[in-house]
Amino acid sequence: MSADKGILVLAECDEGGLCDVSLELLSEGRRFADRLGDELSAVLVGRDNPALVNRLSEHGADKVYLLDSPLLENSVEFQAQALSNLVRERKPRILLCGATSFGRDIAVRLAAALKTGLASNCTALSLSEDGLLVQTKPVYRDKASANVICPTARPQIATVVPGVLDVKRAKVTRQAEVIRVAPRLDTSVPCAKAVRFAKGDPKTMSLDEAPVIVSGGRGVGSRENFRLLEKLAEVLGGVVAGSRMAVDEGYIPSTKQVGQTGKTVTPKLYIACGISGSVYHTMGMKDSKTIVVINKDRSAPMFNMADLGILGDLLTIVPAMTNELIMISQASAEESLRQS
Amino acid sequence: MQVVVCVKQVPDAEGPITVDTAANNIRKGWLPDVLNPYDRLAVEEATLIKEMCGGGGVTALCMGSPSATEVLRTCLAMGADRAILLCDPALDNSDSYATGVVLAKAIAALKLPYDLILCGARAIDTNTGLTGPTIAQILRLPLVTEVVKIDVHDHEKAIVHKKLEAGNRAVIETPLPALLTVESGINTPRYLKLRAILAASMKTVEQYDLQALNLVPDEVGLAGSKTKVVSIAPPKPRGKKLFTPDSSLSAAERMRLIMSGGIAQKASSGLLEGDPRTVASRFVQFLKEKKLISGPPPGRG
Ligand SMILES: Cc1cc2nc3c(=O)[nH]c(=O)nc-3n(C[C@H](O)[C@H](O)[C@H](O)COP(=O)(O)OP(=O)(O)OC[C@H]3O[C@@H](n4cnc5c(N)ncnc54)[C@H](O)[C@@H]3O)c2cc1C
Repeated sequence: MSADKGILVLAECDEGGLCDVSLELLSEGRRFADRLGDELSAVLVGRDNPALVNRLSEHGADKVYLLDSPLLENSVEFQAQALSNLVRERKPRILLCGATSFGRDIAVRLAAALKTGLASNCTALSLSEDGLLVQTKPVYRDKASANVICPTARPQIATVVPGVLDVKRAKVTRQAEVIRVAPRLDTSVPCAKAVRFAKGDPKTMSLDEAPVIVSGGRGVGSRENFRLLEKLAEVLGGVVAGSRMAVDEGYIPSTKQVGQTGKTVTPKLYIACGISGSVYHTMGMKDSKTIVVINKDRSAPMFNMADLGILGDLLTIVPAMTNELIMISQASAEESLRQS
Repeated sequence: MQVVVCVKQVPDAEGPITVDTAANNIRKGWLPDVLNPYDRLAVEEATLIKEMCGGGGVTALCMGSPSATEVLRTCLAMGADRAILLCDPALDNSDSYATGVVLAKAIAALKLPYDLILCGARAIDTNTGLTGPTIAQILRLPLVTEVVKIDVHDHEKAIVHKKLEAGNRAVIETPLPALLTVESGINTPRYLKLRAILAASMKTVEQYDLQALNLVPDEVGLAGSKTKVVSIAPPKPRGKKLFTPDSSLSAAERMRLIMSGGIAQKASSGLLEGDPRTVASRFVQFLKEKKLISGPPPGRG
């Protein structure tokens, strides 16, 4: 066990490049590595991109492993196989993954294959005096928080909720050493394969999955006015929801109610229009990442939650927002046409 | 189609659970323990698959204390044909990994027939999600996690939808037998009629101990577990600051803050106002700063 050294971070990408959670994990991993006198590595699956490697270096990676094989393309099973081979060979003592659908999927497969423990959906990490990873995670539907360790098996694997750790650029400038690995894969085992990707449709998406929610209350005034919110939601790729009053007034169906007696939501962006901010409502949306509030009453409690508070009449402000967004998306479309 | 569903009995987290920091455990509320909500979805799905395929059987398999016979009876009432409880003091305190080992070895030792094994995506008490994948690893089965749709084709393969972020789905084809873990949204579990509950109470729940399963004590319980809970605490409020009413405010104002759940002031120091167009462009600027939308690419000269 004592031979296990080093910290490995699973680096994840989306259309926007490296995911924020991967940088968060690197920053935390760097801190641990410095304390343990260890090496910090990142592993990228199937992407050879110097820009990505530079960003990983900036955030503290000493080494970057690039796992590349055409077989990895549509099979998380092969990806997990390649990663577990890498882990067996390099023996990191800690492996950190984002608690994203990709990270969660990989982490459970690795823990099972490597016969080690896993702490899922951690909200904090620390090192104990003897250098063990102490993993803090919610249990019992968030009614308690447990500190979990993995005393003997290696690596210690954690998935960490995006957005709970700070991102810091490394103090020392590094140029990570790049190690290309062509994984040896056992293709004889029966295996599930992704055949298609189906993009989420805001029209049918459930509230708890929506990345953007435009929510309206009694202040919206009528079902017709709710059309304004729908248009804004549409340009933002989000869905419409509302307060209990909006449901009671018949502006939206009860399945779209947010709050204590409705749904609990955690979108990236929650835009509250004409909602006063009763605790029954805020209970259901307080964990939204970014909250924008539009209300004409300066003393509406809803403003207390706002990252951006807008004082004014939603009936004129919401359409103006929609127009502004349409304009910039057209501008960027024209710009990319001109560039090509 | 033969389906094995692995289920767990958990404290009802809808109820008043409190944390006992001294005992390093939770204090359960007065509500009885329940079938893990994700496992309920798995049992429902297994029953639907059996009905759809016009035959076969559903076996509900649980590792737990003697009181877990109750959740197995729920499974029987929902349509399971056979219910099996793996029960032995040596199994207490198994973590997700050790539980997976026990269930996999039980499936093998008892020669349970299966074309498909279903598990919940996670149990709400421990919130780990490793049990299903461990079973798949030991039985060398293809695995798909967090599934929200299952279409079975001729006992040979299944096309399933896996839940990704932002409402996206991956459509995945897997040969059978396979292990799938199911995520919320896959179905709405049936409402249990009294008659079904009564009928289930008459059925037997088979019970096996360590010896019957050819398991050695090292593999199970605390000894077989890889993780250890060192402490447990009430949840910490995340992100936003705790509320302290500002005594300089009027009583009415303080009341309003308390009514709103006392979430600390963030933006009230600077509310945005003005004509709609200006406000709207500031809003768009804000979204860009927060990287919620990408701006137009920088113009060239
Ligand atoms: C047991 C219980 C459970 C409940 N559960 C829920 C729940 O799950 N979800 C929920 O939402 N509520 C719930 N409620 C109701 C809750 O207490 C509030 O009544 C409700 O949230 C208020 O909805 P509202 O903010 O839309 O309406 P109001 O409180 O009427 O507020 C309307 C707001 O719109 C503003 N406004 C009006 N016109 C405009 C305009 N043109 N432009 C800008 N702003 C404007 C006003 O200034 C005001 O702030 C529950 C209540 C109880 C007792």
